[in-house]
Amino acid sequence: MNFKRIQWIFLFAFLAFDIIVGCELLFQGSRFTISNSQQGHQTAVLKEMRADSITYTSLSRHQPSGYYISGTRSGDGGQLEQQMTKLRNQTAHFSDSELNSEFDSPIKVSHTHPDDRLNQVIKSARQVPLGTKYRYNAQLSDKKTVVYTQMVKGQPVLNNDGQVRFHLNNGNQVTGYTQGYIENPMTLQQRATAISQQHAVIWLYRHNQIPNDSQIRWAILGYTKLLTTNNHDRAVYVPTWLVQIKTKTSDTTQRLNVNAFNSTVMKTSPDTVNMDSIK
Amino acid sequence: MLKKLRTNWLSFALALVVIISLLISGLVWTNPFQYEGARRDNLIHSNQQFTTQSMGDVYLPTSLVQTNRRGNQAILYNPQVNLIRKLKVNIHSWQFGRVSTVKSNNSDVYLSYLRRRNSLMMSYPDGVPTVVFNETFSQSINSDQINQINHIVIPLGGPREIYLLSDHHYGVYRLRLSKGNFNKVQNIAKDANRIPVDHKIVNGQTVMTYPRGFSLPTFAFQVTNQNIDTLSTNLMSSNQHANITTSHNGNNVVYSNGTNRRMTFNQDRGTVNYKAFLNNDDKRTNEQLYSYFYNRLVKTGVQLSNIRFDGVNDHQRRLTYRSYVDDFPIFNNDGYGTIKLRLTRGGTEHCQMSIYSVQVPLPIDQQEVRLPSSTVVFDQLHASSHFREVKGLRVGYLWKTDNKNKKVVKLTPSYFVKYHGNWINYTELIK
Repeated sequence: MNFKRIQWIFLFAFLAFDIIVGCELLFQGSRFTISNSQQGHQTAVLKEMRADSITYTSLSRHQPSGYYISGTRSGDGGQLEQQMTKLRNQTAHFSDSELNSEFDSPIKVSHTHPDDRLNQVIKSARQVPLGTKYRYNAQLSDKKTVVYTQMVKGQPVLNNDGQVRFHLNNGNQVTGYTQGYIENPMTLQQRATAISQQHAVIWLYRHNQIPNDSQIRWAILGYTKLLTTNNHDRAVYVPTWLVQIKTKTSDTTQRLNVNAFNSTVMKTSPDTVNMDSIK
Repeated sequence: MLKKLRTNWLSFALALVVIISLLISGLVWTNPFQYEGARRDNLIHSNQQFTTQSMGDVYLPTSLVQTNRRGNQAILYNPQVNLIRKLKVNIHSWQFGRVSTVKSNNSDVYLSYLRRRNSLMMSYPDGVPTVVFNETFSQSINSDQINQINHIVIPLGGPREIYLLSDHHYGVYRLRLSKGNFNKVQNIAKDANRIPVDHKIVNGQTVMTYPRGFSLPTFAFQVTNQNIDTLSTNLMSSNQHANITTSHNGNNVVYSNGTNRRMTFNQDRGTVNYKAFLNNDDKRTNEQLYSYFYNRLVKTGVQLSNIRFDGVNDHQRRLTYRSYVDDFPIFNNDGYGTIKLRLTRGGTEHCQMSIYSVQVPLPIDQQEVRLPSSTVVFDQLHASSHFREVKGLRVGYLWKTDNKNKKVVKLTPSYFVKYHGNWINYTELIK
């Protein structure tokens, strides 16, 4: 064997070593693998869901952030009731922290884009009190109701506490509205990371909340009431994934709320916390 | 020269690949943690728990101090966002050049870096190994050169470099910034609350003092109870499917898998003591404990959103994790809100925790509590007979156990001192 051939052999041997070990060092960036295996796990669950004929559009893996927020439903003598004096051309009543109003003459809106007209209506203090605090929400709206949600820290309020719900008649005319308003929303703690849209849906599936043969129509993030307290009726709102599921066979829809901070299904009627011992 | 290269190109190529292979071998040799750690921890992924908190979030530095041009220091905090987490995101995109040692074993020089004018400093509650810093800030600092990190000093408006400080042997290390943007970092201090502080070295220990009195808000929380059955399953589950038996012993419920795992639950106090004899050849280095325990924490199912690494002791084999509220630690005499994990060299794992935690804040009428300066606190302590045994001072929140009402709790700010290894409210010593 001549010297040159030995050189060739060595060159290949070392090259092979460099490439193999080098690649391993480069690609094993996953030193702490919990998140990675979680990722793999989630993909597996998504496959399982497809096998159960559960359909969904692309689900985001982005982990949003949010706050625990406290606030009170505007009640008797509150900001909402005070603003009512400015209202014109409608009959309004205020009771149980809720404003109910009927327009004197119904407002015609577009079938597909009711917000084109209602965006103007809601901005006028003569038509809807505090309307600038609300924004149109297409997901929550349907044939009979157009929903505008109060925006708190950049996110919509997903329950009645902070919504304007316009009522539609069969002629696609807005006859009136129901309104709730959260006063003085305040953050209680620093911003924290919430679960992703994908995780919320997977969580529901894994806890048998999504029936087979159904469609996940949408999942949106917003604030929902977690609990109320006996401290001046102040409530705590938490970032929530609201998921709408439609069963393909029976054509019924249901909505589920997942607490985006601790991945649990929210109760329909929140607990009241007694704070007497620490007030 | 060119001719030589052309005729002998094979030899040159050979020399090149040999040098590369030597470099790679060197990397594997000097950094075995990266290499082995990956293999080992890949095996622990069968758990069903999920957390939005990464390992970097749990091992984040806990205080941010700004030193102005005149040398005055202040803790920065913001009730809306965690500023250190914001800084972390910035540092992720930075690239550092070589590490060089500036000085070691000189406390005067060390103190001058702790009080460096016009800088930001992030501090850990206790020293962390360099691998943990690397994981948090997506860096790859060689852990042989720097063993442990206590502070990260970022000079503002000056040279493009940062300093890593290690209280152990007063090590000061310089990292040159080869890529990255300092501008965003300067804005972080803009809308933050400030508490005046100062750094000193007392009896060889780095101490942060509070030269002036200040106010902090109180907090109220709903106390969350973790279901004990879930907790016991989470803690005791192993690869071998063994039946878990329970027995009652007075106030204690003892869970056991018959062979090597045992958990005692005190029903009155809500505390949990877990002990497991692991495989003897399942040895982990001190550095590996940090990722291993993070995985264990996730597995307990405890909400990690406000849980932070808070200290290390027992020859670096026991790590303490603590609940924090808006950048300040929470202390409770019964150990609520604290998780202690320990792995002995002999392979025995211990876990001390409780079923109580604070997660959901409640609206409480803003009552600010005025705290005196630490000089006043030291003077008061000095007058008591316990002063000699006081080992450290921190500002945090007191979670007072109320046996009548374990549903809600009010957290009040105070000074805490380390006394016989435990952090206690300083007022307990001056009674």
